[in-house]
Amino acid sequence: MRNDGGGLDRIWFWFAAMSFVFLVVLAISPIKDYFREYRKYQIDYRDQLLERAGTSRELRDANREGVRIRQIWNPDYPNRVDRCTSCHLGVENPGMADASPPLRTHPMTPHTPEQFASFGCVTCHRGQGRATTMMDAHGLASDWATPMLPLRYTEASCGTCHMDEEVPEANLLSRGRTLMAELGCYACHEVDGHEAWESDAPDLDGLSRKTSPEWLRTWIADPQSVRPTTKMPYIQLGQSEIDSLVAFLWTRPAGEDDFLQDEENPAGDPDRGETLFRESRCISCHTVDGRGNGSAAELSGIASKVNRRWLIEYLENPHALQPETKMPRYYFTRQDLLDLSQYLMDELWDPEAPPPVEQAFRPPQKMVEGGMRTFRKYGCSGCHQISGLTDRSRIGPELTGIGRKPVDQLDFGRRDDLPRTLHDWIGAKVSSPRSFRDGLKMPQFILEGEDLTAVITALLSNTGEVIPEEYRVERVIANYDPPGRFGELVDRYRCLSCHEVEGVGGDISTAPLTVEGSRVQESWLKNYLLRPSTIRPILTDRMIPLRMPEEDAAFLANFMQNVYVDDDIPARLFSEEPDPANVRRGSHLFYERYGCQACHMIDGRGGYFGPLLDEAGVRLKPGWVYWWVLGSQRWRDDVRCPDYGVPDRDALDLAAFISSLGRTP
Amino acid sequence: MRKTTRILVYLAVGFGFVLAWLPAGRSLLFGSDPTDIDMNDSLQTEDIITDDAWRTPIPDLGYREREGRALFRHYCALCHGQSGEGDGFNAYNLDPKPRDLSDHEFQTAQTDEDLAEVIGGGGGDAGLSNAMPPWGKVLGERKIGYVIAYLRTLADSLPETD
Amino acid sequence: MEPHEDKNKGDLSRRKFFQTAGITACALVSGGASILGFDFLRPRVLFELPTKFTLTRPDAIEVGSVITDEPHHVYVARSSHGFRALSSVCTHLGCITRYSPDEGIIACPCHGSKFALDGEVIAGPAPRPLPCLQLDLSPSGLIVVDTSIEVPQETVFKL
Repeated sequence: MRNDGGGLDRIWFWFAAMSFVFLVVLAISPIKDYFREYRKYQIDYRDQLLERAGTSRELRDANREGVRIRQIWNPDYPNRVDRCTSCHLGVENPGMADASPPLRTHPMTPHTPEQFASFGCVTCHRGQGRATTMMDAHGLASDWATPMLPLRYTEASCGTCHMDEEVPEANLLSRGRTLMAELGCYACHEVDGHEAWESDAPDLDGLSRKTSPEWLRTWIADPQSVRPTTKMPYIQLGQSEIDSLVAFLWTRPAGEDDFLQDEENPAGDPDRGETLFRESRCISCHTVDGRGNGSAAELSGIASKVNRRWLIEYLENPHALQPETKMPRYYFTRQDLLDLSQYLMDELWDPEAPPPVEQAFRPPQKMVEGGMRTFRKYGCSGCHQISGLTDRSRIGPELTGIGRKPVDQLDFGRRDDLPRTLHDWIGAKVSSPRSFRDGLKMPQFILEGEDLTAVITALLSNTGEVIPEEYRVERVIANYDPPGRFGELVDRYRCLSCHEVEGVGGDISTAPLTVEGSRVQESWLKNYLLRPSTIRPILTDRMIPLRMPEEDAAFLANFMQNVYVDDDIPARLFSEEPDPANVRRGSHLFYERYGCQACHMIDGRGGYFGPLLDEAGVRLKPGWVYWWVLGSQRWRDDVRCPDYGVPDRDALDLAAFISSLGRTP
Repeated sequence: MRKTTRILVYLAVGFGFVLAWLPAGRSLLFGSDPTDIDMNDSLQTEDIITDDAWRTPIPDLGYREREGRALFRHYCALCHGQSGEGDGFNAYNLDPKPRDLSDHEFQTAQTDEDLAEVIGGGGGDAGLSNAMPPWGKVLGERKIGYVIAYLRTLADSLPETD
Repeated sequence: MEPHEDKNKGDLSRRKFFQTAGITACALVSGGASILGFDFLRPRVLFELPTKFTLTRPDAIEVGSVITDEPHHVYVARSSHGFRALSSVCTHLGCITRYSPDEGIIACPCHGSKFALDGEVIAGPAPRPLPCLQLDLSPSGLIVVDTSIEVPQETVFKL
């Protein structure tokens, strides 16, 4: 009996013990569930909502907030579920702007708060949307291939859908993409969508007629020390490589030794040259000691770089020496050329440049061949054209998809100091490319501060991802070729170096020409082409006097008058002279209602930011003024003339007033 | 009885292991946990991500301030000046002169809503000079928000109190 | 035999204790396991469009116009009285109807049912009007539609 009882006891004891163990094991799951990371935030969020609730409705909504996984699921992205909102609870609630993360409101951006449901979080911030703990979701703890982007690079994500160079409301990204094109990244690296990139570096044929071997040597050794604003990077060449490269360049084609002798060009008058230099508004494109527009080369030091005979030839017809140059062909007389070149040679020399050695430079053939190999090795032909080297293959690795490369596929080389992240790797690659290992060829660019961040952002934006069609904003590559004789003149005067027509051309001028015919009057335009007058006194980069023959001006003005028109802009606004009462009312509106004189000057009164309106009646068409007043951003979206929401009647009267200016009745 | 005690000790040890395995239990047993997150420490994520000892200087401005800066320089700086002091090159002919936006007292006196109203609706409607045009139609609510975010960075630092 | 009895009694009570404890724990385990099991069967999250979702700002919809939200099959119409959300699934055989702005009606391309903007059947084989759905305003001022809640046909939501 006792023994039996003892045995049963033991069995019951073990039964109880095991049941208890089971209970404990079973409890693990709900306990783990209870201590979920997001639970803490969700309870805190509800508490904060209750605290902030001002209306009974807000109170009701707050009480409805339970603890659960929240997610954004967008069927357009098959495998993406963003559960970030399980912790980041306040992103869509503007009342949480002063809360601390993760409950804080998401700042207003072009896509939020309207498009949270279709964009989700990972689209812009990356990371692991499915995860529900911070370390996993932010992609920090796991081997997640795309960890969260640091906030300062988030604009990179705009660039996965927006393929355009200029992405609206993404300054940093746009800056980075522009810099990549300007610095010539695409010369060495293939990137999808940038196959058509063209360098604006000069052709290197005939250098022996242009400069001296000494100058060339200093330049190649470190271009930025000679001219800090140059886009050419520091290639970090050895002395023998520099020597051989100079030898090679000097023989394309074979050198002429008489560059120092210049008997055929007598001395000019430097004072008249200076006047010409100012009149011709060279600083609309060039800079002198940093002053000027800066889209063309810095001219200080030019006398130490080129010889006078070359300069005269170039000023006479730039297109013969540099077929791709943006510089227009002025109509200079021979005396103009002598005087202008005399001024440039006398004034703009570089005291630090090496003096040319008065001795012919005849490099041995072996050196020339070595120079050719160096030229090829460093991919110089990616930017510079030179006869005899037609292959312009890119020497760098392809960069498509670099913005999403997993960290374990990156070669950190010697850089043990770098954190193992993609953006740090890209940053170091861009700012000190040769520091990774020996034998690398990428040159040193000067990139600092925000520019560096911008380029990193632009590179991170290149993910090579396949984005659903409806989300993509394709890169628009404008294509416009002016026809016939007009095209020839546009090419000769290089109008498109400064002006934009149908999306093609430069941005030096603030006036695109696409609707020029609807904008200005033909007689004024012809006179302006012959003798440009000042329209906007504030600008340094003003229209240049091209000294064109009258027939060219007449033809250009007539062509634009007939072809560059927009049917939306009324060609004839008033069938007869507007009533003086309307003109008076327009004047009152101009000064008293809309305060236009804050920017526009009439008779020396008013601001000088906007165009002078003294001759507006002769210059502008009334229909244009009317159309402009009703919404100038239709012309260029960055026009600074504000949209006042002018009623139609006011617009008519303003047009009547402005069209009366400068006209003798 | 001794046996029971031993068993209970075993169970307690086992339960301890289970506790240690649970994140919450761990912090209970060993105090704070390296992966535990402090709710009020907003910088923690950023610390982990931006802990790069190398040279990338972090831009001073956030996204909205940067966008605002571009807009300010394009539209506003002509009169209000690059640093907002009311010394833009178009300011000389204006009467009254453009507001010095960097003025500390002005910045504290104006709420974001006040600023948005004048920027969006223009000076004339707000009883100020009509030389300040309305930007509401050009910029819209969001971009005006960017501009205000940037304006706030232009404020002078607090005046020294004696 | 009192001590024996006592001891027996003690044994019995201890056994009783273990019995009770064990059975209670067992019951808790099985009860808990079944609760957890059922809980496991119920999905925590679903990979489908949420029934409650935000659309645009109310002022983005002009008076007299209708916006269509294709993924959720919902129309939001604004009249001078206010807003109204309608399901775009035809009550006949479940085709997706289309709004035709010229006629100002909703038409089903499959069997020619036509509905007015308050959901009422104008023509065709549809047996019931289009369901009217719950509308709300999110904290950030966006329209929120809840397709899981039907409201009476005459309901119009005001701002």
